[in-house]
Amino acid sequence: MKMIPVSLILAVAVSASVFATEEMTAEQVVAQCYNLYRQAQDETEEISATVTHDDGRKDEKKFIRWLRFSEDGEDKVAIRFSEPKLDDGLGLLIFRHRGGKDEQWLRLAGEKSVRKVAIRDQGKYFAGMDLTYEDARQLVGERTEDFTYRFLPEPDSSEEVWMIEAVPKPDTKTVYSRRIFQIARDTFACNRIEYYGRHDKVQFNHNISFGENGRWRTSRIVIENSALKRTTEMIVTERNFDALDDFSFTTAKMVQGR
Amino acid sequence: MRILTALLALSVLAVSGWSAEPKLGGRLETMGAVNFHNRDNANDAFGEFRAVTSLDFYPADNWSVFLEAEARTDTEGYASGVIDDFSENGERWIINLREGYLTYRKGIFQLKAGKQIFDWSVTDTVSPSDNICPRDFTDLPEWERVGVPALDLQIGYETFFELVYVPIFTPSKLPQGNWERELPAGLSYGDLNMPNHGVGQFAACFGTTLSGFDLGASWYHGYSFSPAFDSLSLAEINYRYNREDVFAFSAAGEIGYGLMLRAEVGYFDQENDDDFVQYVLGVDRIWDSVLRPTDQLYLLVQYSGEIETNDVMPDRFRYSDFRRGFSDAVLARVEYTLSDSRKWKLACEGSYNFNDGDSYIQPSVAWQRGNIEVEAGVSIASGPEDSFWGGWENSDRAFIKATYHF
Repeated sequence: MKMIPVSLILAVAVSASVFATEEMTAEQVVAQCYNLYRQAQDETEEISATVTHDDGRKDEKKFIRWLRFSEDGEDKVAIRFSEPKLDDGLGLLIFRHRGGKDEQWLRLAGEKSVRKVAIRDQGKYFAGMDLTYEDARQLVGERTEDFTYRFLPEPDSSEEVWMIEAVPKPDTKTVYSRRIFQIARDTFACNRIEYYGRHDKVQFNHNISFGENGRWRTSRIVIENSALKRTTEMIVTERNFDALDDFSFTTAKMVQGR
Repeated sequence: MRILTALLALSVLAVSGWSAEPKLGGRLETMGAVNFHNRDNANDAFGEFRAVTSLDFYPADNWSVFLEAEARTDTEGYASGVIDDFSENGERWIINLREGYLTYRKGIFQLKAGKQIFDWSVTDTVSPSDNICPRDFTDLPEWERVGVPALDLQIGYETFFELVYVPIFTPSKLPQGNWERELPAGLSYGDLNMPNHGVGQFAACFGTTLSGFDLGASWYHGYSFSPAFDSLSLAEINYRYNREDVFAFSAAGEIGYGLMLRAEVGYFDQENDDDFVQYVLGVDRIWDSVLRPTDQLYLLVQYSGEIETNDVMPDRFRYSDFRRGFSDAVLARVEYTLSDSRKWKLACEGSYNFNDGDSYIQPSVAWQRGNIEVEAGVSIASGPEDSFWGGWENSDRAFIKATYHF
């Protein structure tokens, strides 16, 4: 198991307040935002999601997300649905490889086996929510070397927040032509992300809380998808840090139980 | 043993709360079908009801238990009797324990003991790597794996070694009624000789990930899940289960443009039967937002071929072996889902054997809302009488299935 050195965590935490008062580039701000987000070895989130459609129809979902933050960028993400019952057991396992192609495996509900699936289909929405396969990977940690960042001037930016535009570099494979981050100047927490591309959408991070090391977390995420005229609201009902072993990120774990 | 099995099965059906946060769930399935041809051994219409309930719970650290039981009944009497043994025979029973096993896990070690279903396939329909579990072929297009009593040791995570021991032989359940294969005039089904259990069956598998590809190598030493021709006596065809060793390799990975490559090859070394190399190679791909936002088109095409290395079996009896029905065949599946909420889905799957010109096709439409799924379609087989699918040329039917998940 890769360990994030305590000294690094302390250094990042202490430097947060220092950086905030110094001149920083847009890339440094985004990097610092995700540095603070990633102040853990692993994380478990139990999430209740509601997808509200234009006609008022609502789809209720429940899933668990397991995250492994790795210092060398080899992050891992596992997701498993329990609601609706039709999707009970539906799961996704993602291995991120810095400098290489990511990998992902899908378990369909009720199946006894796991199927490797293409990483290229990153623009697809996963499980009928407004999170794409790309979001499921990218929200664990921004790969700042893949994008070009710039501050958006006032009135977008203000004394409280930076507004930062991220545009993919030519070789970067992404479904988004640009994204705009709203990041709090005092805490480096990300309050909002606007996505532009095939389907425009806005993600709002509400109820942000902070750990002692500056780590920030949102417990309520709302994604307004203007293109599809629907909204996904995700409530984190339970969250734990640093309690997982390597088995949590295996295909054997994905097929365990129902 | 039957009392133990009954207690296990009934406990799954009855328990709603137990131990530390047990998880109970399942599904209710109904199916109706109308056959297009009059057959002596089947009614014109078929109906089935099935309830499947599963329970998994964690009685202590590192320990987990999984139980899945079913109760089913149908108009043809395919399922009969009250309870199955822990190890199944060739008949369907009304109440059955599909799986029931205990898992112990410590670090990289995981040991499972009990009745389990194994699926080592990477490809679809035809899979040289997938030999441990017998099949329930009773209603052929709805085939599924049958659990076997086994010990399963797995060591490792992404790179792993797995060893399976199955002490008791479990036969497959052969097609019945509308799906009982028609024999040439003057011939009828005779005996099915069961093997003695001997030293049981073994399987070993090594798996790893390399350069984005999932790679696997496996060995199976046991009985074929498909019976083969044994002998002719008084115009009756007798069958038997042959001992075999199967050495197989598999690979799955993305090869560009969103195409997933899936491939398997296996060498079947059989006692008193043909030896052959079977291979499957195919690609699949998903396109999304094709005609409308969040719709999805899925296409899978696989080719299955075979090289016979030792010819023992008369060719005309080869097709009684379900594993060898696709010796020069293309298998395909296409699905179009109208939106990512999956309310409507159109699908068509089928296969075509180039050698004999026989084929199977099953177009269907599915609707889903909440925890309910409904699917309707038709199954059509055609081909010369002595070909694989030609044996079911008079089994064509229309069907509708409804499933409620809880």
